[in-house]
Amino acid sequence: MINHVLFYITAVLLVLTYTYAVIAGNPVYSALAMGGAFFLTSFLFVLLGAPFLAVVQVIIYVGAMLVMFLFIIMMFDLNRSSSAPVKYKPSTIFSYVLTMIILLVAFYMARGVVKMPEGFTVVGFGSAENVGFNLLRYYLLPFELASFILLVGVFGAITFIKKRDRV
Amino acid sequence: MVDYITVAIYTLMSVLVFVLILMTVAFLTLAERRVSAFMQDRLGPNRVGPWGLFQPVADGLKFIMKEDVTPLEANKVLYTVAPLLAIIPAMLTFAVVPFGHDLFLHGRVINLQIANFNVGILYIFAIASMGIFGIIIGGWASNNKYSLLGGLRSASQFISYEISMGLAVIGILMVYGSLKLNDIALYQGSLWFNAVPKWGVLVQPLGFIVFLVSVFAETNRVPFDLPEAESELVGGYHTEYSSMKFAFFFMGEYANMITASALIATLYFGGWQVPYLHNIGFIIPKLGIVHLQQWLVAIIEVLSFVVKVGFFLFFFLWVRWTLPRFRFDQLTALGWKVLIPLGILNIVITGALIMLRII
Repeated sequence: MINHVLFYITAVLLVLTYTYAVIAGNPVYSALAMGGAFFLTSFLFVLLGAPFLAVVQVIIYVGAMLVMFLFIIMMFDLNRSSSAPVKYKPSTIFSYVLTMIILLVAFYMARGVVKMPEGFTVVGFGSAENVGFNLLRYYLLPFELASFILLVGVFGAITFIKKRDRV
Repeated sequence: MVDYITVAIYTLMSVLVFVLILMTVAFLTLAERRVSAFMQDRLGPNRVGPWGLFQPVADGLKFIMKEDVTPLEANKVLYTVAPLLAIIPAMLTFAVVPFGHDLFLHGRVINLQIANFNVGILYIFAIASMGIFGIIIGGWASNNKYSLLGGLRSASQFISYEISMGLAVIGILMVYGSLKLNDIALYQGSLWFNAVPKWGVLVQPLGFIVFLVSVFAETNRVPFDLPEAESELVGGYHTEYSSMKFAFFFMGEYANMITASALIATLYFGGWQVPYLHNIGFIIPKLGIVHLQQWLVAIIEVLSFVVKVGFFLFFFLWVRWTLPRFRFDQLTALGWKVLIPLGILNIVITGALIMLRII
């Protein structure tokens, strides 16, 4: 019961923070709202009985990604870049309406199919041992492939920033 | 059914730990000044009370009385929130640090640890990574170039050294096989070759060095206090801050130092372990057993933890007044080109030694 109440409170807050992240005029506010949303997501993992995922979510998304975001955003001169209020042109309103329609359709289709998760009954489902075991025993190939893709991404980034005088 | 007495005990314990951390922070500021004075052959603050012991109280009063200045063009909301973001995570991290083993009291087992969370060490990483936001946001919201540069420096520094710290801790996790800090401390009491306690520093010497250096960088202390380098950046990220807001940043830094010391002690120096001390007393192989009361054992363990943490706090001060500051390119080079490869090497060596059943 208490889990359900907490879930709905978190879910509502999550949607509100993500919405604020989109509509906030100031990029720094957007980034911080996103940080709050990451936190709430990790709280959802806690409710599902997966503390490992919750903590990893905070470490990676809040501790690393968001710091990078803020790092970049702070380099901008926010006073000069357009922090003017958003003008509601017809196209903007149209896109909002379209988004709402898509959301409603998605909601309608998901109705009855997606139920609120009841929490996993398997003991230690989200524990570090279990995640590690499954990742390295049954999903080793996808896991390694994902890390390989990341490695390629790193090479790509280095290639981009390298000076081109030696080409 | 909720056991209200247990809840009451742990609530009391968390309040107690909170107060103790604040007290330690207060006296650490005094200790820093006295130790620096001792190292530079001065006297240091010794006017307020006996040996200057009431100096922190005087400092606190002064902080409260000072005018709280907010720069004109600063972002008011974030400027106010930033000091809170700096101090709250610093206070939260101590929740999973065990400061003693179990205490048996009237048929009740009390963990001398606020929360025995089953991902304890990752929790510390997660919460510690939020502490950085206070610094970045504070630096940006002040609308001051020095502050902004301080914030940016700390962001890049934090990200680079978090990796090497994580790599060093992986070695510890491989050896002790648990994410719970209490288990890690407990397993360090087992004996190696039936003689030497398996303390982290003996099992993981390379990991310890990597961890120690990274922790200094993570807490923004000399030789890695680039975010607040006076000679280049005036006051760094807290240039514009005054009064209690500045005090919060200050207290956050010192609270981080306490957690860092506790972490070094727990991961590498046995935490609350005293060599050969078990729940029933000292057990020394081939020599015999000295029986002790359980409560006495608990007190000795807590004292041992306090002494270890105290030593590392002193070590922080010692290093600060001994070493010069790094240059920023040296700092990043050390992080990425030395510590991270060493951390990976440590993992490989540890894996090999575990396969050979040496540790």
